[in-house]
Amino acid sequence: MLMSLRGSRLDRELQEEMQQHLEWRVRDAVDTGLREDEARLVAARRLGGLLRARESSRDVWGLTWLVDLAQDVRFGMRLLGRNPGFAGAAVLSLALGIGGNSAIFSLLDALVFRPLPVAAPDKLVLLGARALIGTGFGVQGSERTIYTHRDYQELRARQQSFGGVLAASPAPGESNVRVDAGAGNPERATGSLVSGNYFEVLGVRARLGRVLTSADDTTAGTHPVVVISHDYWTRRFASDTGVLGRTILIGRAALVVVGVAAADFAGDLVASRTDFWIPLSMQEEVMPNRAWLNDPMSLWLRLVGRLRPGESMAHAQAGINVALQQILAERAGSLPTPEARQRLLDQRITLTSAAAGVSSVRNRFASSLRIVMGMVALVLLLACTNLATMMLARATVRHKELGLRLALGASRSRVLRQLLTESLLLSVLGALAGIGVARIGGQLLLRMASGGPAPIALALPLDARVLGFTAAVTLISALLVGLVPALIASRSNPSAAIRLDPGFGSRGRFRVPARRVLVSAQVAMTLVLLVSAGLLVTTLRNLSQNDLGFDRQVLQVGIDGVSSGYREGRLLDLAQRLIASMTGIGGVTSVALSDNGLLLNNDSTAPVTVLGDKPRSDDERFANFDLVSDGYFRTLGVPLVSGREFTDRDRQGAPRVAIVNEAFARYYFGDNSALGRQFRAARPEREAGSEPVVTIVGVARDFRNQGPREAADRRFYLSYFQADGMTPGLQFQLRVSRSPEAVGPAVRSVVRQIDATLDIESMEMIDASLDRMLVRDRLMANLAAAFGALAMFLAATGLYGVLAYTVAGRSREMGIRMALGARRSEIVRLVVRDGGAMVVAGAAIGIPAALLVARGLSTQLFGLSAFSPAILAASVLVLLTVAACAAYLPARQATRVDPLVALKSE
Amino acid sequence: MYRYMARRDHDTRNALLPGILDMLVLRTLTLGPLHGYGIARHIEQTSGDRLRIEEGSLYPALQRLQIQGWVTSKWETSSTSRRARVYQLTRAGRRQLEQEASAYDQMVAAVAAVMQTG
Repeated sequence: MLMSLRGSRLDRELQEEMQQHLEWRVRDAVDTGLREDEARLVAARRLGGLLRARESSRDVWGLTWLVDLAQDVRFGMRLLGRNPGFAGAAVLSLALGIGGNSAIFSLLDALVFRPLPVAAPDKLVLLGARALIGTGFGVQGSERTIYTHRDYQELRARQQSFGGVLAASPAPGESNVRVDAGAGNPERATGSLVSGNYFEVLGVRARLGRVLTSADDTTAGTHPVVVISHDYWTRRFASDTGVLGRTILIGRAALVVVGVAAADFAGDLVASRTDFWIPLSMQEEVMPNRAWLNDPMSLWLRLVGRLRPGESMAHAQAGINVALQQILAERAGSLPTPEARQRLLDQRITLTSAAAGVSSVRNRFASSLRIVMGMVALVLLLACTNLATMMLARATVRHKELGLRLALGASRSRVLRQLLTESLLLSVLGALAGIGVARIGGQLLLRMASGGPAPIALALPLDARVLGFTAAVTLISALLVGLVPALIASRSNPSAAIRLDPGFGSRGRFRVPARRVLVSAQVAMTLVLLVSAGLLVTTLRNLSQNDLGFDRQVLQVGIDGVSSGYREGRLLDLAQRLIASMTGIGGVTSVALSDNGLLLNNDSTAPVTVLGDKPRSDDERFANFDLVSDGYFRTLGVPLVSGREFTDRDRQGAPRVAIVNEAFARYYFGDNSALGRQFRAARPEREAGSEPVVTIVGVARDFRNQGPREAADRRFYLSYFQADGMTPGLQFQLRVSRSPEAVGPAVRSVVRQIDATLDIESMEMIDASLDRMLVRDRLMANLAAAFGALAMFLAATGLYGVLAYTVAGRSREMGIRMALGARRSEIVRLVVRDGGAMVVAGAAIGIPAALLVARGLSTQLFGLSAFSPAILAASVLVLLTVAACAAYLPARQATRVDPLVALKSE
Repeated sequence: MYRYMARRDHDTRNALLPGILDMLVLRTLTLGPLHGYGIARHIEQTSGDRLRIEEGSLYPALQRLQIQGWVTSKWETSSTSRRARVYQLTRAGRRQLEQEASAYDQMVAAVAAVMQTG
């Protein structure tokens, strides 16, 4: 405003000045003989540009830069319009680079950084170092991450540091739900069991109806209510406001919909879909035959607390551990041994921030995403470097025009601004197109990553953070692309403008070296990406081909017997019947059964005491185990090193037997035979010392039932049908000779015949399960390969550009050499040496850089060292091949120079 | 009634590039402070009427020179008790004039050299 006030004053003054000027003109015209009115006309015509003059004067005062900017943008657009090829290529590569970066950033932001859409998310804390999403039984390690319902109630009662503590657990996998208790096939939906104060602690309101309250969570089974998510409401109920009062049948419970949660709230579990929330008190109705609510051994809840105002996390952590110790001290009295008591009291809780919610997906993907972010940034850098070399080339062509501009009075900063505006224009256009790329890319990546163990539900909105990041990247790109060429070009001095082109022998001083440096940088970056791609692709190959030690032609079928009411003895009967029926199916060679299954991330652990063994510390005593049926190892194709499998003689009442793996045998018995040796395996629900002794009857070859990345550890196996008092899982392994599509329907019908209420939770070939486990690694390998290829392309075009320019510039020299008798091969060698120098310089930086990056990747790798010389050599070889191809055309061009034409061109 | 001849006549006169104009204005002011019209008249007369100064380019030029600090201006009441804005060269302006003049001389020499070959 000040400017405009000043402006109006200046305007008036200028007007006055020009009026005076006019008067003088008139007076002079009259003096030369014209009449007054004629004179005025002449003068007026001369001053016809009065208005224009005032305007251009006005421009000079204040908003010059704005007018200049508009002018530069218009000029830039015209320039781009004249070179649509260059403009198109530039905008495309920038769109890919900027868009790619934005896509990865939006993923990272949504998964890792974005705070929950709740009140004061920074006050939310997870009780645990990282969330364990799953269920457990007995005592886990000393770091508490999941809790029993009793733990929750006692902690909540005794703690002082939190305004509120909520408990939550995913309802088991996807549930079969029936809306309005309708007949027909059930739908699948994913929900969560939460404490009554869940929404209150988080600070989330209802969009429709109400949210859960503490009153809903009092007595078990008395409040059959459910709150559905906004997404579920729009997806399944088409945003019908009449949804309140409708019922959803889950398990045995008919739950009444009492509310729809706020629009942007998708639960505190990030990237896992939550369609509905049910009070904890309804647990047993919703999950029949699983009485977790009052079972002191069932660990199934994650706890999140909201810090009181002014409370620090350190203080709260101390406080919660005091409360925990009080609780544990009361329970320790009932434990039989002092070691057990000490193990109990050793437990502690570490608080971590839950401002961005809790997520198992995050644990899996966060570090990979960061690596991909680095790769994409390199690709953008490559694209910018390419463009910078192109801009440099154009600046060289335009230096005459620019020199003239400078001679005619433009200041150097003005020219600089104009050149930078051109590159900013390119970047902005690239960014606008890039936003589209970002959206598509983000969705594509999500879909690729979702092939894994569970579908990933992440919203990727184009919010302020993502746009802000895009803007920052755009600006940086513009600077990278335009700054160096602009600085160099604006240094053109006026006399140089009229100088002749660099001719014989001249290399244009500082212009060409700048391009060469850029190309070398490109080579270095490409090498880094190639090595990364090589490492990740090889990792994927190693992972998928890794011999897990068992046969992959196995179809794994998981059945839920508990929900249909089978427990203990009845479950074992059912298992026998199922094995018998399944064995009869055509295409099934043999059937085995286990408690934990393969590749399912289930495992059991127990402390082992080998009779006659030296005393060992607590940490050394734990071994993993599984309950398996007769012929298990034969079905899986795992050879027995010695001894025998379980048979139908190993049943209840018979002597208890066990099979151990080689690692177990080596650990306890060294080179001696393990057969006949005995040990006790404590089970949490039994008192120590009362476990039965088991005799080892077989030793099996080590195999890894958790996947390629797991180390083969000490394991033992007990006979499934000797498991009294336990209700094991029903994971069947079917050795098949036909495809799963052929066998699957037969399996389903067999199960249905035995009991139609049995739910087949999963049916998948081991190969397919393994593929799903490797989704993240596959994603990384694919992306790295794509980026590597892109990088090679960009570097090749950069190299080609510089070599072509050099050859063109030296065509006279080539012509003279050839006229003086130089052979074609010598000319080619000249060009190749030129290109080779750039490549070698690039490789010199690139190799150590690649090794550094490889070290950063080492956590992702498998089966190979980060410093793999083979990969490095292969990458360099590929690079050299590509460089040779890029140099081929210019080299051929050089030999085609007609000496006569070249000599005449001056 | 204006004469078409005069207009065409005006167009064939040499167009002045803004950089050159700035230099001429600075040169004019070495002779002493002058108002805008006086500067224009001086250039026109000294060039034997071959150079014509459009007000549309003169006043922006004067603004530019002021912004760069090569020229200052102030209002003065002239003898005829009329107000006029008078421009004056600064020391920086004097130095700038020297630079521009030398650059211009070099360019002229180069152009002349080219024009004389072949």
